[in-house]
Amino acid sequence: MAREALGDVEHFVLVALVRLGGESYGVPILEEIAARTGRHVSRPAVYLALGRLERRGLLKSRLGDATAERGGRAKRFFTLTKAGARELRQSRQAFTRMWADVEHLVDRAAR
Amino acid sequence: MTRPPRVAVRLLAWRLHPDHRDDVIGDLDEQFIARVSAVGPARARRWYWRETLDLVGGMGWRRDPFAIDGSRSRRVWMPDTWTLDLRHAWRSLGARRGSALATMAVFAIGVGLLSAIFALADPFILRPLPFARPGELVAIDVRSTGLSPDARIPTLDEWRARGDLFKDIAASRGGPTVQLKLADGSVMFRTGLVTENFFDLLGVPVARYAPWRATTWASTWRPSRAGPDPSDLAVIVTPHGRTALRWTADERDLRLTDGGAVRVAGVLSDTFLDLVGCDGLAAYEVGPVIDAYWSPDGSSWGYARHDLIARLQPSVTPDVVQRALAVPLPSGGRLDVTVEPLADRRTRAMRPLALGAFGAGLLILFVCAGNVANLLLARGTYRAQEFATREALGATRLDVARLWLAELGLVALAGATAGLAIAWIALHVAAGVIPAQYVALGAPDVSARVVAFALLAGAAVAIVGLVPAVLVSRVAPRTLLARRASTAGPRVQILRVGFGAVQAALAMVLAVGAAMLLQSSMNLLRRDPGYDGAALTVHVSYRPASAAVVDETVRSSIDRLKHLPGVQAVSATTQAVMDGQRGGGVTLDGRPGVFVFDTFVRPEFFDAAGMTIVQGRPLGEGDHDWRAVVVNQAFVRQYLPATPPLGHLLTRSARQGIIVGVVRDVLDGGLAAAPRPTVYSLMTEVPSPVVYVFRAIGDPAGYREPIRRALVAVNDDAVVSDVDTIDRRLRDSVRDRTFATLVLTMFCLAGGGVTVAGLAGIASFVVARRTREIAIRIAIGATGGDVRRLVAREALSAAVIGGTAGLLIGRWLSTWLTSFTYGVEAGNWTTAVVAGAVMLVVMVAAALAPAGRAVNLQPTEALRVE
Repeated sequence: MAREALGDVEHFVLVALVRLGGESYGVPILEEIAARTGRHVSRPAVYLALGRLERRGLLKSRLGDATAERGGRAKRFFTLTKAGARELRQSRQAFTRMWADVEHLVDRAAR
Repeated sequence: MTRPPRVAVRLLAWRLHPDHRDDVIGDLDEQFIARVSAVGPARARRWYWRETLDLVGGMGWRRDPFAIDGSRSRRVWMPDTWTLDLRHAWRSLGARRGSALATMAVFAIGVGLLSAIFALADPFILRPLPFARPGELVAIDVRSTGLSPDARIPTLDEWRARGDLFKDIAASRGGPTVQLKLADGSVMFRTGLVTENFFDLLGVPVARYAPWRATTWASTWRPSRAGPDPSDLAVIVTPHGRTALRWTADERDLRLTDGGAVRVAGVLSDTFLDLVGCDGLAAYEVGPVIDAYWSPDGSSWGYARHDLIARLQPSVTPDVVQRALAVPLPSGGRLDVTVEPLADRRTRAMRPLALGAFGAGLLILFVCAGNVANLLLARGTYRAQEFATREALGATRLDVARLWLAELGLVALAGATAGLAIAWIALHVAAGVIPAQYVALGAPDVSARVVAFALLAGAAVAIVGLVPAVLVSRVAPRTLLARRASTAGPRVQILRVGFGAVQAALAMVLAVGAAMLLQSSMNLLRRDPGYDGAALTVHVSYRPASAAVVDETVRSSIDRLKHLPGVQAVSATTQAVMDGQRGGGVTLDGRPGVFVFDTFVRPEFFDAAGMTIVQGRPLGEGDHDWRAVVVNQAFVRQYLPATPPLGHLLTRSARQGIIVGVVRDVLDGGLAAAPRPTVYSLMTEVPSPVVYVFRAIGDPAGYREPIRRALVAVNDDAVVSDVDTIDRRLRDSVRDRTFATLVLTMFCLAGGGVTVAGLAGIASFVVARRTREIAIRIAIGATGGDVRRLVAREALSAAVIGGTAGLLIGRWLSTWLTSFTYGVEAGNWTTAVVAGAVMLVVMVAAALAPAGRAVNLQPTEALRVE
């Protein structure tokens, strides 16, 4: 079966994780995506994406310590794996190749 | 510290997979705390709820949302969330719209009928009285035997001091009716008397405006003695009184017509259940628990009773109180005390009827559940293969049950909603004809209790109906995939036909009953009342005055009413139509023992009421003092059958009157009563109330206000009741029958509707089970008639067997209805057979409807589907 390409949200999640220093948990990831894209990203979509990426080995997770502000619940920290970094790079390259020489055409169509 | 909404957290904890529950909720909590300081707790909580619903809707049913890839092969067929379940159910219902609508209709009928009955019966069966801790309240009835003037009867205060029995005890009784003067006329105001602790004992809130204390006048007033009207009375106004007075909160002092005043000391809320039955309650003091009074020589006595209500101490039962209070009096005589729970006292009369109706409603609901089961069974059979395929692909039983639940949930919800609408309409249609005793504890309405009950009933039907459907969808996949769909065994078939037959019998019994009552109603409405039905009547009460004064008032009022535009004739009588007449013995040509009813009238009465003089002349001004009388045809039939009636002599006391005319019979005893021998004579004394009767052109409603104004203009103390047509008063006289007819017709429609759905369900089931067989038969040359016979055989057997049995039972049971019927004999074959034939035609049509679908089956398509 052909390897699945990264979806939009998965792509955003991986890039957000890189921006956050390679390891982070749900809240900063959600906030980073919202801040950078200026779009509302559905919470379930982000959690489902995190889950899928972990299944595919592109992320790994560990439980952190419980804190009072979280009602005594632990954070789940996600870390980018090497496979994840490779996948992200390939995805980015695919996008770049697709966009090569068409940006002005899109601009013209949008005018 | 502000916490996230607890319910939302619980919802998340319940819905999310345990592996990820904590970190997802933790993230949400952390953001919540940040939001509380940024936007405030209220907005933060709203945000939390939005995110919760988003998560609940988007992350599946306790399934590991992060494990989708791994389980995709198993789950791909199945909608992942409840919203998808519902969407799937919606599509599936749309695919077999007819059966979905039939199921919904069965729900609607069953739930609607039972909810309407529940709304009517609830106050008499389940709903507690609207007082604080109603279980502690008892009604105490005190009677006495063998009292002597020196008997010492215990006082209410002595009983109140019995702390071992009572927390408190209060008394009440009906008070005098007084006449109040309002800005635009006068009204009669019924007072009630209660002890000062009455409202505290019941735990009823009273909006108090002014002091409300027992007065000597109220404490010494007795029903049997006409005392002077009170000069100053403080009352707490009941809901009925507020309506009667059109009372507003800023109007605290009401004037009595004779110059005294009634002060409004307080007002009770609309929900107050008036145990006394009056417009306003004044405070009084009670001495002995029986108010006995003696003639001056002590030889005879009478007593005025109080209605006692007590709140019992915990663990004290009514029996204990009864034994403790019913002791011989030290000075002779005995008190007989009956103690019973207040709720029983209020509901006793109606409870058996309410329970009976409720039981009948439950029976129909039970039949509904059976039919829903049958309809779902047919659906399940159609879809058994689909379910088998799903199970083969990995769906669990629970998954299949979820599909069923979503579908049935939609149908049940729609059905229950439609049922509530039916109940609402039924109650509003019935509102005009519900006799007073059925609404003694409050008018029925679709309240929150009724809605809750309807949903509960809907859920019960759904659960009962679902069981066989789930069972059929649990047939082993390989059986179905191997196309060996089992046909039902003979035992199941007999059961199904039997169930159909029971329904058909029930529907037929109801049809026979309803037909009898409908025919009786038609007979009653067809009766010629003898009056001009459009003639108007109005009751007017005057304050007691000398006969000459009131006589003059009546004359002037008639003159004034005659001059109203459109009025053709006006007169007055002492007897209202259907208000019951006084009768008495007279002598006819010296022959005693002639019993007649009296109606005293003014001249022109016959013209105003539209009554026809069949012989002789009407009464004129010179006929007063019983000089001349007019009799009705019933009198002639009974007492003068063989001789010409005019000129005979009637004697009463010292007065003699000659029969000068015969008037046609009228239904003055009500629509259902037979005409009685009646003597009409001119009014000699003026009664209260006087009933004015007039004939006018056009819409009677338009005359109401002008009539009232004209009567008050002549005498501003006149208390004018509603102006109504004779027709309306006649119809009111058969309210009980109309209500019984309406209820039984409702039952009949419901029973018929349910049975139709049931028989159609049986035939549909046959079509579903035997589609393949039918297709093959058509392919090898079976005709439409053959297929119809095959499909409808079971349902038709049920209809014919049940219908015949029902017809016989219905005819036999119809004797119970004879007290409600007019002109229809019990066991009347014509009515029963006509009703039975109509019902049978409907049932046969229902059985044949699915057969039509089978006849049009394309063999190639049917076999391909299989």
